[in-house]
Amino acid sequence: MSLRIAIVDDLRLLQLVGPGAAEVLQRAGLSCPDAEQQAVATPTGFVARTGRAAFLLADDGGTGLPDDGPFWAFPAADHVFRVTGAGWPGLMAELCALDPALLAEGGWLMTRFARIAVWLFRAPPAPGAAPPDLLIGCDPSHGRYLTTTLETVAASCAESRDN
Amino acid sequence: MAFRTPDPGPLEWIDRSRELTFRFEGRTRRAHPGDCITAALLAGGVDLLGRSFKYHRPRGAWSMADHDINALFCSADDTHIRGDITPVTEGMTLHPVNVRGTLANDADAWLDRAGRFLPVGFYYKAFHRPRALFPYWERVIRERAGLGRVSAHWMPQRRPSRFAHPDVLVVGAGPAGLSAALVAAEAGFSVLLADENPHPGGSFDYQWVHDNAARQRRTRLLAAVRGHRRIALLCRATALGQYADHFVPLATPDGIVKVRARGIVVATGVIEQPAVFRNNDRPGVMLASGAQRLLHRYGVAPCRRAVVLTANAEGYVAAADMRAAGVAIAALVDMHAEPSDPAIAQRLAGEGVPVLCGHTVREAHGARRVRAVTVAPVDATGERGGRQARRIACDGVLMSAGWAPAGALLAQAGARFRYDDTLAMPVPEHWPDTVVPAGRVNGAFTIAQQCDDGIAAARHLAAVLQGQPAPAPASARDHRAHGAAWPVARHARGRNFVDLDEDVQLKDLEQAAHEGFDSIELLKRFSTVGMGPSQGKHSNLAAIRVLARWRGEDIDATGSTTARPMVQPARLEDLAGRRLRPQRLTPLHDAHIAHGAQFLETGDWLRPAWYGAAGERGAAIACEVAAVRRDAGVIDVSTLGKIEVLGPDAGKLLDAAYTLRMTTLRAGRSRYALMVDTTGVIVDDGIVGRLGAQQFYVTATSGHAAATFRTLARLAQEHALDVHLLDRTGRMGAISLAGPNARRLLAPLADLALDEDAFPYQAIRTGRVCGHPARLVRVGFVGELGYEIHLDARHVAAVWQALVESGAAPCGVEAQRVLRLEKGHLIVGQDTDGLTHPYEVGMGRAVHLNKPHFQGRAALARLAEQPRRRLVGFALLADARTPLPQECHLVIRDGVIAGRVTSIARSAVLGRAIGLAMVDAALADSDELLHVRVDGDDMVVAERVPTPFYDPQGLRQKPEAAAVTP
Repeated sequence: MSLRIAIVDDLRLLQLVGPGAAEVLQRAGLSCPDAEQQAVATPTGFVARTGRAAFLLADDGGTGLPDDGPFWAFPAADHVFRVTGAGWPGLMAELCALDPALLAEGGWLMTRFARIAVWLFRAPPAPGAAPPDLLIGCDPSHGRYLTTTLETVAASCAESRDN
Repeated sequence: MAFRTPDPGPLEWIDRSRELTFRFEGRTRRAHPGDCITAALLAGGVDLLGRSFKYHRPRGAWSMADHDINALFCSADDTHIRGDITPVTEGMTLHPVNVRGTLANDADAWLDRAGRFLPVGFYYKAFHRPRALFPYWERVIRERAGLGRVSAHWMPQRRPSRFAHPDVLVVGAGPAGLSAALVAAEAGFSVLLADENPHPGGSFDYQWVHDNAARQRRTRLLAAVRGHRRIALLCRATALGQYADHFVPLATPDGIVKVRARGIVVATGVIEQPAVFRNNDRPGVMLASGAQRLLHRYGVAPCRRAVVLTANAEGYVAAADMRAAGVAIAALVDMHAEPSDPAIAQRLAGEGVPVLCGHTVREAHGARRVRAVTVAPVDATGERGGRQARRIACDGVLMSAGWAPAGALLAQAGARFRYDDTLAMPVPEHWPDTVVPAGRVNGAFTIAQQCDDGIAAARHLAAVLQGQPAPAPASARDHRAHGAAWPVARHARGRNFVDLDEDVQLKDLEQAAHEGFDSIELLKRFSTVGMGPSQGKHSNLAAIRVLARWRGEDIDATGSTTARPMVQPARLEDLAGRRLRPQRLTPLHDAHIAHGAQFLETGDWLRPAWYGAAGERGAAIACEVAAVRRDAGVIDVSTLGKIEVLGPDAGKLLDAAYTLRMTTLRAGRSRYALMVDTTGVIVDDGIVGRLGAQQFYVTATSGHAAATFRTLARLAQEHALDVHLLDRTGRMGAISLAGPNARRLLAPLADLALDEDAFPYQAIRTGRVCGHPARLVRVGFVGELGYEIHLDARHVAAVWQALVESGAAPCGVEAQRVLRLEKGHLIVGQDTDGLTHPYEVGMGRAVHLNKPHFQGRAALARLAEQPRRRLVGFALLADARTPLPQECHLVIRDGVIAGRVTSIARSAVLGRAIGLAMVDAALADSDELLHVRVDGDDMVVAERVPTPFYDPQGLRQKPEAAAVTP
């Protein structure tokens, strides 16, 4: 039931919007989720479909995107946390009304978490690796609030387990 | 007198090997771990546990099922502690509630003798004349009313809540609930089995204790449930209500568990109903099931010599239980003509216990507790049929007159009930497919019936959840009577209580009906029956019976009241839950701290108010204002809403959302954007900038950004527009650079031309600042040459730092408010209210009624005709020593309110205090002075001044064109 929370600062996030956004991603060699509110893992991150013609690309900055076509790309300075360990459903139960079982491996959710809007991505595990990490992304203006909240709740979860 | 039985029962909750001590009314008492307060007090010889709400009558134990509202206690830091369920803890110090003095010597006990002057609804009929005395009576009543006192030194406490998502929630871990949980789990569903008691078992543990077959079944069920990997058992978990989509909050000692299940089995059992007879509230009179709980859970017998009044077999079992525990049964009084349980009746009779069928208890005797009862025959209608009354000495009366379903969760889920004449209680008639009753709540009474009903309920629910045809309901309801149709005995001297919470008597209900309150909802509100802490759990059914008989109707025709959540009281710290208060910080927050900012909260945001020591507010703000007017200042405006509007129909969307036309905006230009709601009330303002044919950039006020985004999204849907929206409010930062030297400071940092021709007022440009991609807008909110610089949140601090190092002074929100006031610019939400439309604030020029459609157009077309209020500028006539009026101070004209101050500040550049006020049109149209009533009822006089107060020609937007000095 260990739980570790770390801030992720090596992910580049881009919001891609427009009718050509999916094609641009495919031309860049990335898979695109077929349906809204789904994500696919990539070697360096993931591509999430956040709307009909809206995507969130997470990578290491190495994906080259053409600058032509009917789409718009905007950097996203989201605050991203990596939650590691099997105790993440307990964390979810304290802070999120949604059923953690809905978040299967590779699953993507845009939801309310600790009373703010977040996205959740449960990265599929590498073969033979530990259980998958949970990525939580939020508006950067909420970064400090969510950091404090996650640390507090994780500590109280650990305390209640110890008791 | 109650007593602790010498031998432990097989299913006791207490640990007799250990002792605790606690204090009650100043005396040390003893208890065993596991004892509840009531059990410990009874075992210690204290049977007077409380005083009633209205008449201060002595009261004792009643149900031992979390409904004993006459046995409430308070401690130093808590009140309304329910003695019948709250465990004793070591060192606990308790006092009774609703008592002046002690329980034995309550100074308000005289109220019982004055009862004839306090009939139902007396407070509606008295005290209003003479009118002048009403405050006196109000004070007297308030001092007397209420249960317990809340400590003024109360400290807020919070207990975190948590969510749970089982497939199936089973409420109640009695025979039906245990059976249902197992079937649901075996069908592959995850099950949460919740029970309000500290141990599972339900009626197994107090009504079937001496039934060997039941004991064996209990053991098997509990072992199977505890060993099942898909069942989670949660005890001390009280279901508080059933809300939409199977949402059931469970109150637990560790906080509320918010359960969202796919289906619910309601196995909540039944609530025993009292018989109504004279003095049925005396200590020693209690429900038979309450006596069984007391005996089997805590090892306490309720009395030495009992009369058992019953209308069902359960009463016979209770009598046998008591007798086995050493209680003498003075008589078993059965309201039915034949014994409800012939076998036990025969056995008891054989042991010398009088069994009186066709009888009822008419009256209990004894001043402080029961000393005897009068029993008399009843006829088939339940009325007294003969005169052969007899008096029987006893110190306890155990009532088993009937049951009511604990069906609140079902009712809240939409279930309907009908009255079952055989069972003499309401039973569920229709219920949702996914909220299913099981067990006694459904009229299944024997152990076999309860288990079968639980199994059937779970199978039904499983089929529904699996999308399969649900099996036809197989009723396991009992076909024997389990109560009396009219468990009420009239008495000429009254004091036959229907509701012990509110001291409502039989005559009160009949009087209320006689006065015209003859629907059950009216009867409830007039008489307050069912409105006490137990919410009518022991009184509603009796009140319905009384009204039904008065109206000559049946129970179903009379109807029932609405069972709203919460079913049981919830603690405030549980409702509060974990403190989660989202606060947003701008990307410049650390820079503000480094500059010594004092912060203020604006909505969710934390913004710098000013920079400097807390005690230097005025001087700091004045310095910041002066810096902007004379040189240049930077203000963090990252909190502004920042919305991308993209696509072929982007312009059409903005035309529909804002009062001005946006499709005519040329690329590279921005325009003031005013948003009203459908009633024409101003809700937001900002700018719309056009970056390309299909790309617009919209700003919104800090507090309304999310709502503006929602409005745009809604309008895009309603108009079926091909448009994409992105809310980038938090992902971008923004700096407002303003002052005559703004251009000089910015030029070295930016890679684009800033001169007046290349970048005129209201232009929007993209470029790089300090090497980072940015958007720049020429603005004039504070009345100086100004630029807003918008860029990625990660880079905004670098630009801020560069500007500050170049000489720009950091300025806070307070300085910005003074600067914009000098310029006469309003702030939506401060200078406007929930009714303000554009014509009241001089914004008519920002409304293009020649546009065929935009949100609020129809309303504005009417509102344009004649505003009833107007925002006007003013300046105080008083000197600087006069206390400054505050925002929201009232403008008085001829002794009546004629408006209010919306903004006010001392302007150093103008040398006087200036402000804005929303005043009546008549006053606005006159040349009269404004009289502002300030704190202490003093009046301050102001003269009208046109706005803008500062630089009315707008020369300071072009500092190089005119040598202007502030």
